[in-house]
Amino acid sequence: MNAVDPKSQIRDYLERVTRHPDLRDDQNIFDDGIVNSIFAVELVVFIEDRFNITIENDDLDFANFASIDAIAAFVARKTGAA
Amino acid sequence: MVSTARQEEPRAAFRSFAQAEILPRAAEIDRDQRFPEDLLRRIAKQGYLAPWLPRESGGQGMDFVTYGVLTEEVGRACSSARSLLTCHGMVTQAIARWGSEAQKRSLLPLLAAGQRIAAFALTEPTVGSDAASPQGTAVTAGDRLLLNGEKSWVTFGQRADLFLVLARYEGETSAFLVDRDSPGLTVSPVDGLLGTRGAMLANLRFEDCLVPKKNIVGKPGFGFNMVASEALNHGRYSVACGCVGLLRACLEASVAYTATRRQFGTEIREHQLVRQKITDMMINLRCAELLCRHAGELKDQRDSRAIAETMMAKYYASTSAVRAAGDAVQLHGANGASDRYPVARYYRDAKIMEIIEGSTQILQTIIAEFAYTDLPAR
Repeated sequence: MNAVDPKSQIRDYLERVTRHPDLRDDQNIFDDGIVNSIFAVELVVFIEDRFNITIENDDLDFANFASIDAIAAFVARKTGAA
Repeated sequence: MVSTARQEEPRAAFRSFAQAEILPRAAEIDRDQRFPEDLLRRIAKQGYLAPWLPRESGGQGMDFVTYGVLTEEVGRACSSARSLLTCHGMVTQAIARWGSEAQKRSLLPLLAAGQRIAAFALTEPTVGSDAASPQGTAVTAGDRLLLNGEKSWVTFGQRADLFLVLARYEGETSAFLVDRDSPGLTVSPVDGLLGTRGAMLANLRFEDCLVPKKNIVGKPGFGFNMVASEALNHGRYSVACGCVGLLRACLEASVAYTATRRQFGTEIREHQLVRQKITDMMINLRCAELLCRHAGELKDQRDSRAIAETMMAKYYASTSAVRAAGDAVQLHGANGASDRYPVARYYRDAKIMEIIEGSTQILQTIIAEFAYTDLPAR
């Protein structure tokens, strides 16, 4: 288990792969054109791998992946931490 | 690919099957531009169409490194046969990853057994590399959808029972499963291709084609960035591994020919410029093998870096295959330009590899992005 909290891990990852060092927690990475389709797949694999969860067909909702806050909330729901 | 002890036994079985069943028919498949149904059935019977699926879905639970070895051995024998594994595998993997529970339950066992053959309908007459923007449309009509548009260059489209189709739905790119016998779907064969001539390509026309709403794969709006991307990731790995097989075939043919062909009083393998080409082929083969193996290991670990590493493997293996096939033809001289030797077929097949599942130029554009984002983390 990584000792760093999920939101920080998500921020570190997003800032690295999007090359946007100052992402706001509520910034919509899709609406603001920060991510592309290649990244979307990698993001899903990253979330599954890092937080040991499986993203299902029913989880496919941009609202779950739109921002650091949204991803952290989604991870918390999937891991039962919410 | 470079085998570990774990892959040696399956590799021997894959090679034995490919040499006995596929290789002897490769020239005929290329010449006739048809893939024999009995050979397709034999491949299916071996469980080679989707062996990475879990056993409960009809697969063998095969790891991706071993699946890469299978694809390599099939690609070494016949690129059209490798095309079957690629296109069928792309759709199967997309359903396995993003299909509904009902789609998975009803389709995966049939796809694994080859009782249904699947093809991926992505490209359109005016949509190629910009595949995220299909012109075809789907609109709601009660509990069904009406699909309109055209798809081009659909590998195994002549034979497929099921198509994974991308179209605009509610303004967003979405993915749909369309049965071959759907009313409003017309399938037209495409012949006269440069390479992989037995891959039975087809063009599709959808005219108010009726599709049940439950045939949407994933969710509307995720058709390209999740469903098609999953298929393309799988396809790139398959093509990369197939290119390793093609590279090996080029090297083996060139070694055999240059060891027996005599000019200037000696076998031509003794000439330095011949040796230089053999050396390049051997090193490029080894590099491509290692890249594919690394990508396969990351896929098995479900590591997000697998996407970038698979692109690199596909780029390197396909460009190397084109160079190796060109050199193989050159080493064979006039014989290489004839159908008496397989290298002319290798040359034509290799060029196709640089175009499909992300052209060399698209991959060059994307891979550079990973250099800017991934290197700082390593």
